[in-house]
Amino acid sequence: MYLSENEVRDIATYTRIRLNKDAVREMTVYLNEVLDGLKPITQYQLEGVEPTFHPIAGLVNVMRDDVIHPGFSQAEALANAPDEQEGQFRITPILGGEGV
Amino acid sequence: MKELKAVLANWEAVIGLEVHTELTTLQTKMFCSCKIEYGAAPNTHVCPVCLGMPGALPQPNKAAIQSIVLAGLATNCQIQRRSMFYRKNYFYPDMSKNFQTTQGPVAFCMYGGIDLEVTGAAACERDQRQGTRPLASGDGYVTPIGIQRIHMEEDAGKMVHVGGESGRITGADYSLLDYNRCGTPLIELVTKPDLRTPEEARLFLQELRQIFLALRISDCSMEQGSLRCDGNISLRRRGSEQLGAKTELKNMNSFKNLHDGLAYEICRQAKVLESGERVLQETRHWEPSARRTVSMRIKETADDYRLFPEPDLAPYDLSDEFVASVRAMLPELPAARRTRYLSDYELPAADARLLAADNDLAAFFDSALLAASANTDGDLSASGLGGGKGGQAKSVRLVTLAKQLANLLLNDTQAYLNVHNFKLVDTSLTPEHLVQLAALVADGELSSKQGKEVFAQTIKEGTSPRDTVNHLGIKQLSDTDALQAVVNDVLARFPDKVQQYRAGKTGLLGFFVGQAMQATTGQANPQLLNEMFMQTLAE
Repeated sequence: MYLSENEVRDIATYTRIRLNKDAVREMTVYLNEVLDGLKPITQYQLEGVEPTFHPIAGLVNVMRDDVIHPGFSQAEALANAPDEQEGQFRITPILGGEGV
Repeated sequence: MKELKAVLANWEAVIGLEVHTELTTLQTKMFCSCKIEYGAAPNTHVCPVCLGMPGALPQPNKAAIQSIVLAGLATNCQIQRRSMFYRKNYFYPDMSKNFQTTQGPVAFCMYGGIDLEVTGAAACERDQRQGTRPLASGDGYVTPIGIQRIHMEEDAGKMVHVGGESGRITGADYSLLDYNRCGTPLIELVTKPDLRTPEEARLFLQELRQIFLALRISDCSMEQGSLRCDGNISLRRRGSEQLGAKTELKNMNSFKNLHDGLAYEICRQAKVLESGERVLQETRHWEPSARRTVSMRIKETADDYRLFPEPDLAPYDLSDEFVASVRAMLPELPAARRTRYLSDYELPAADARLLAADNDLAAFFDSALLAASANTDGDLSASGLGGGKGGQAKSVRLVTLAKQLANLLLNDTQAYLNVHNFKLVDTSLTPEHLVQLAALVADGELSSKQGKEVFAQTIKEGTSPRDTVNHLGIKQLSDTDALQAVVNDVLARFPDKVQQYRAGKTGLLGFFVGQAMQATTGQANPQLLNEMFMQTLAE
């Protein structure tokens, strides 16, 4: 067992996925199976090998010049806003409100 | 609650700072080409990237990476060639893509530090037996302050909470969002917990601000929020090595608030500990008007932000050429400038500190002395003006001139700028004119009072001091023949006072000089008069 049911519940909370007790138990089994699949890696001699966990391979130092390109107009920016006021996005209360 | 001084006699405060600086001198944001502009109409500098729209791809600003490397080099950090960006996930409307792009375990700049000079009354607040060395001037100490890292990230949007209790988020009816600031390049500097007093924290932030201003990477306005500071603080008994529980202090948006907030928090923690209770690990908010800190939230565990490598941004492997090209952009830093002013011009320490701290004044000072060396006799040009390479022989004249010049800049000029709310460039004052005036005063052609009169004309009208002197006919009387007549006249008018003086009442000298000054409508050289009266009366 790599992950406990408690840890899986925490992961579900972070990812905003609501899981009931049965689902947590089921997911714990699945996730541990996935991690089990990585076991062969531990058999290799990996000392001094740099991690390659970045998905972009071969590309480095991608940068652009500091030159302005206009983006949206205020009207375009607010076009899909649920509500607006004086050029700003107007949103429901963040704490203690009903939410959207 | 006990006073800070009493508390620090028994307790040692351990303080670390987190300093956020917006790179306001850049044209565009960190990951998109939207303009950076403070005070623009809301949501007029936004695009799919900084609004967090699906599918938008970020592109890092090269000038921002140059700026942070510059900041790292200026604070003696090691530049990490290999680093990358991460996503720090959180759900809050000020960042609509639901994560802040920031750096992970490796930042662009790591393991640096600066030497901090602490002078003045608050120097005694620190136990100086460890980690400090005394200043040569004898009025304080120097202590190294370590910098853990400086990493690159982006600022969030601006929120206004409407309704409820005075702009607070709790109980607000709704909130308004402006994303113009969202995505502004931000560098976060984290110090080691090396600071020991509120004064050290204040001076450190001031020094850092001066460095960043010299680098021209930010306008560093605490008022407008382009320079922000949080503090971590804990207490331990003097002599103890163990760290106590710390609190994080927020909302210290001025140098005074930083000092006062930390001072209050030190006293509060001491009271808690001395009553046998424990300090809770929490975030506290400094309320300047009530002069207290209040708890915002108790921290049980570190927040879990699900930090992971940003898949849309390529990692960095900075080349030696890139770092070298940034190093070549390094200007003279305030500390080096200060040392140069002390060693090359023998300025008083306070003057050197004030001048070196202000880019505009320092540049003006340097070019004024350069102008002086360009059009005077050999004794000035031989003295290594402005170059700061050191080693050249100092000329007495240069030292006199520099002192006079510093005086004119720090007193007269500064006062004028303050009154009119001007910057130096807004006035007609030129370095050439100011050094000309400094020379007139230094050579005794003008009294310092007359110097002020001419200065007022020079800075207002842009006229040369020499022309003003000729035009207004103000000139210090230094002609000994003419003055001797005045001296004789005064002595003849007050025979009783002369008798008293000769009987030992030498304090009357000032009276005689005053009379002579009056007789010449203030134009005589008072120092010269002093000497002449003494000599004449001794005859």
